[in-house]
Amino acid sequence: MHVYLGIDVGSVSTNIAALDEFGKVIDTLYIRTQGRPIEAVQNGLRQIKERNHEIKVQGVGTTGSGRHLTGVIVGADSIKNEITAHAVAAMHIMPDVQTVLEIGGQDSKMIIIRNGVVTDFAMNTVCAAGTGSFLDQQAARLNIGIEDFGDKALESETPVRIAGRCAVFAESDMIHKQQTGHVTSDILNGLCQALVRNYLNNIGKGKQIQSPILFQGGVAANKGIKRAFEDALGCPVVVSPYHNVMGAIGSALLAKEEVAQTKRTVFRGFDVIDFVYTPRSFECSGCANMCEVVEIQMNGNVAARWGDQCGKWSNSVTVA
Amino acid sequence: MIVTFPHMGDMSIALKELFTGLGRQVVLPPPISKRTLELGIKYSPETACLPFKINLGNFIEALEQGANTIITCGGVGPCRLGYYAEIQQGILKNLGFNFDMIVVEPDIVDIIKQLHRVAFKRNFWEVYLAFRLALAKIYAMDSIQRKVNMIRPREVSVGKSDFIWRQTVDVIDAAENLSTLRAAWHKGESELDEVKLKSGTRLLRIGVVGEIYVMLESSINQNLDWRLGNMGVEVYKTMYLSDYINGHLFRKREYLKKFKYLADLAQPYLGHYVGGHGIKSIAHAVNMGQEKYDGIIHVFPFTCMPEIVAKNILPKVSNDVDIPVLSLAFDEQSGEAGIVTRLEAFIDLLRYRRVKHHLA
Repeated sequence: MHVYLGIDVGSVSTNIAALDEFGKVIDTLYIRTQGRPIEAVQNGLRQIKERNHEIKVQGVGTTGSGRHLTGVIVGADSIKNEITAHAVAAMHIMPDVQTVLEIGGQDSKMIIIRNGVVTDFAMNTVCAAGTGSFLDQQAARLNIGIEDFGDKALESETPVRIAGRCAVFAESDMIHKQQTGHVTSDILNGLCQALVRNYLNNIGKGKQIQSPILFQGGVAANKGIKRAFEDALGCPVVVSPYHNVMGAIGSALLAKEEVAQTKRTVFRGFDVIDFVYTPRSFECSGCANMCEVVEIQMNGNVAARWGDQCGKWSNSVTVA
Repeated sequence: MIVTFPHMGDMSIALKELFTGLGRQVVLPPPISKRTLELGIKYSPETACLPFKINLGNFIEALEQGANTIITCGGVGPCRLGYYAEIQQGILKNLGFNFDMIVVEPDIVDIIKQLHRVAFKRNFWEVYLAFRLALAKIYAMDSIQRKVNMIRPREVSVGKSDFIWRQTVDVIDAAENLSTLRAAWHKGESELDEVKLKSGTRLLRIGVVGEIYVMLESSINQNLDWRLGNMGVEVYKTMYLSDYINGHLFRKREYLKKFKYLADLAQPYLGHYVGGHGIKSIAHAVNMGQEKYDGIIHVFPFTCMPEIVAKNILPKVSNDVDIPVLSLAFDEQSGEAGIVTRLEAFIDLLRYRRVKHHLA
């Protein structure tokens, strides 16, 4: 079977999606990056390969904060930012979508779409309160599995008001509310509402949030957050069936688009699973810019360099 | 008197020329580095904007290298810049530095007065010559930079125009009189004219509006022009040093006319002065929307008051004149990855938009 692979290497998770030629999702994979993007990608590809013996890869796209590195490792046809990838995937899953709410491990974004074209977007700048990592941490502190967070919050009818402006203060406020005797479910519900309030104030300021609204990213699994969004916006919010791998789906679609132009994929093949990649970085002393140059070696040969402004290092690599 | 001053883009080349021409020894602050930033942050109030912190870092590094007279600018509010010289002076004195500070107000009469104070055994004619050469250097560099921003996205061999730019800046820096400067300028321009360009496609055109320091200082704006150029975008910065000088210091008639025109454009959105470049950010956005630019990037230092006013008005402008606007705040925490992701996404947005407009 001919497939297009999308790889989304984020701060928390590495996701892979395999799509057939018609854009149907065949397989998806969600694993933790754990600060080792190269191993995560190799690991992920190995699992995809083992689960789908029959696939022939026609194109590969990468996205997420590790997109450039991953692009070099696998040989990617398209290397695109996560905002574009998420937008493309959202329009694929829900063609008439107008607003995309996306909350991931360490970032959150909002994408405004009108008539099938992105017209505006926003991404959290200075603050990570309300993203997945924070929810993870609070669930752990309350001794609740992150999977049960949402259901537990749904049990609550009377949310407690939590100060959600800042993750640190939210935590101390939660501790205070626990100690004054509020039940856990009410606190969780309050936290959901605080995070949504914070998200809408920071990311959604000045944006026209119109339905249909698609909610995606790892946090979309949390039913408590979904309900809080619906309460705050006063309209239904749809959680994408592939909410946690939307970036990967988007980058597979972008790869498909790219290969339609170039006619031929630059994917290095599943052999990359066993290649040895060694990254290193150094500061160039050629001029006052002092660029931090990153170099990736593949099986002992330099495969790519980037980070320099003048092209002295990046242009000197001849091996593709 | 050993003179120093803050960095802002390539301004140091002109100021060095000016003060050397006035008979003073000049110590340039070292190029802005991680250390400059660290020193600036360490001794600055947390909520001061980035220009304050970098300037302070520049001063400390220059004083360490033997400068004893700081020449810096004043201001007349509401932008906080007007207070900066006083506060920086206080901080540096508390740190135990011994120096004089000359604060030049943005007014041609005050500038001449202060230059006279700095000038050492120079007559009026010599002061004039120094001033003229310094100005000419600014015009030359701005003119070449504009050209580089046009060529960079089109050049066949990447990095060529930047190479010529850097070489030309060095020659301009070294030029000792108007004729060697003109020769360097023309050489630079004609070398740029010979750069081989990709043919065909109409590129995306993006206008950059916002605060002047962030717009001009590439170490702070994460090399915005260069990044956009390499992504295949034609960049129009709405402000260069020469524009500021011609408009605000010399108050040249053509610029005053333009300011009036811009103020009228901004009038429906912002009817009064909010300091800094707030009104101009709005006005240029309206103007560039009318002139069918593809998009606007609005840059400012985090906590910049005038530009925060502009930022909150820009969505309305964007909607009215149908032009996408991306606002970017820069501070010492601004990570490269975050900026790159936003720029890439913004450019994708503009490309898709253009395809759609084309089909429509």
